[in-house]
Amino acid sequence: MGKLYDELTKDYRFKEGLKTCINCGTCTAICPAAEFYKYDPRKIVDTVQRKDEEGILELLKSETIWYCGECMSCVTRCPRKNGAGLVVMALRNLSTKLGYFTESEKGRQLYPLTKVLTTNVLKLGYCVHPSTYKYEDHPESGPVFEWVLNNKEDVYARLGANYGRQGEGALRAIPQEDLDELQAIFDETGATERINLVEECSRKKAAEMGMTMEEYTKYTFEHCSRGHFNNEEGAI
Amino acid sequence: MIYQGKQKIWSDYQKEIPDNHWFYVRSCIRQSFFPASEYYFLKICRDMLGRDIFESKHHTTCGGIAYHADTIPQETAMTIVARQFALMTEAGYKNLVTSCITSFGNYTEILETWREFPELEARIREKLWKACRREFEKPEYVAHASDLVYKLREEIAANARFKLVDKATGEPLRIVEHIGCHYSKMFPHKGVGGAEYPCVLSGMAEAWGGKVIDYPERRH
Repeated sequence: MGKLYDELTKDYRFKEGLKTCINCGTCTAICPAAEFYKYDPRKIVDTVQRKDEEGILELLKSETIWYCGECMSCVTRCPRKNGAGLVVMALRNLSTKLGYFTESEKGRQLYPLTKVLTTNVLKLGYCVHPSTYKYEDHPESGPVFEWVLNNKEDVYARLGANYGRQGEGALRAIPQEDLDELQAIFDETGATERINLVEECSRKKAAEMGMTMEEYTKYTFEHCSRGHFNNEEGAI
Repeated sequence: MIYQGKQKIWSDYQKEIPDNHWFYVRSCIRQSFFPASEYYFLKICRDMLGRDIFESKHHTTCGGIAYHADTIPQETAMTIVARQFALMTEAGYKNLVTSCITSFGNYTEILETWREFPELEARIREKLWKACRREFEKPEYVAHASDLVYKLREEIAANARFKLVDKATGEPLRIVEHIGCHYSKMFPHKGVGGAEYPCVLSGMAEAWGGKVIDYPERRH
């Protein structure tokens, strides 16, 4: 592998997202994530733009690259048409490829996310689907949605969906032939390899932390240490 | 009248939204959490206003949530979208309307990236062929469902049984709008009113008799 900076330049999001940063800090000022997290996109872009290899390595293992919500507000306001969010996406991609994502608490969340989302895509053809959406994992969705989930066939039928049936319409069953095509796309474009890599690195980390995979999944999904947010003392 | 300020900027970001013949792709989130919003979008556009909106039972998620959760590579997201374009091409359509705002951002970003880096588009065409034996034409126009409703807002107003007016007082109902993040933040010229002054929802609310309420975080 070449230098980390050179690896980043191969990512099209990096090509689009970093032109000539003037370090004005507009991205940090507008960033919704920076309002809550100890997050400063200006510093991230500055570290990368300086080709600071040590600094980039630190970023790849850090919490900070996982704070971005990818809303792309930074793109709108940047006077030089950079996209700090796009640079962060390239950093996350490299962090994943090199297995560094398991070095941070927020990075480790990639495991439960990958498991849930890619399984939904490949088995159902949806990123999110009521059949795999567990209320206990998302209590923020509220008691009304809990009731919807407990009565989904009736409720979705009443709301005009075609839940789990053949044909067109909302929440229809996606034909197996189409799911097979999604699997072929995953195999052809590196997603299957990525899923296996995330699994392998996470297994290694779970063993290091003395956890079973079940415990690791629950822990990475639910646990949030103090120190991520601006109003919290201490660093992660 | 002096044409300045917000009015001037807003006029720079008008969209010429096609009137008819759309290939429709659904939203994972709207189907799961607000399925009736998709049902009524089609009912209003197709049944009430007579527009041709085609849905293929073979279309799938665009993968946008998995992509923005960094769980799939960029080329995977692009090839899934290329497959949707292939279904649109096979069905004979050129305009694509997305139900989901993140899909809209995803489709727009992909088309713009391909415009800038044609070699990447060529690679995705190759990957789609290898994986699915499909080929595609790029859409001539990509809209979010709200763009289409905005386009049809006066027709909808003319057919509406009720206005957004308080029955007791006759005053306009007060409307709070929120524009999804992936609507035009990266590509302002792709949204009605651009990134800073999006008018797509406020335009509807006002056309139907409501009054839009301002708030500090609102894009305007």
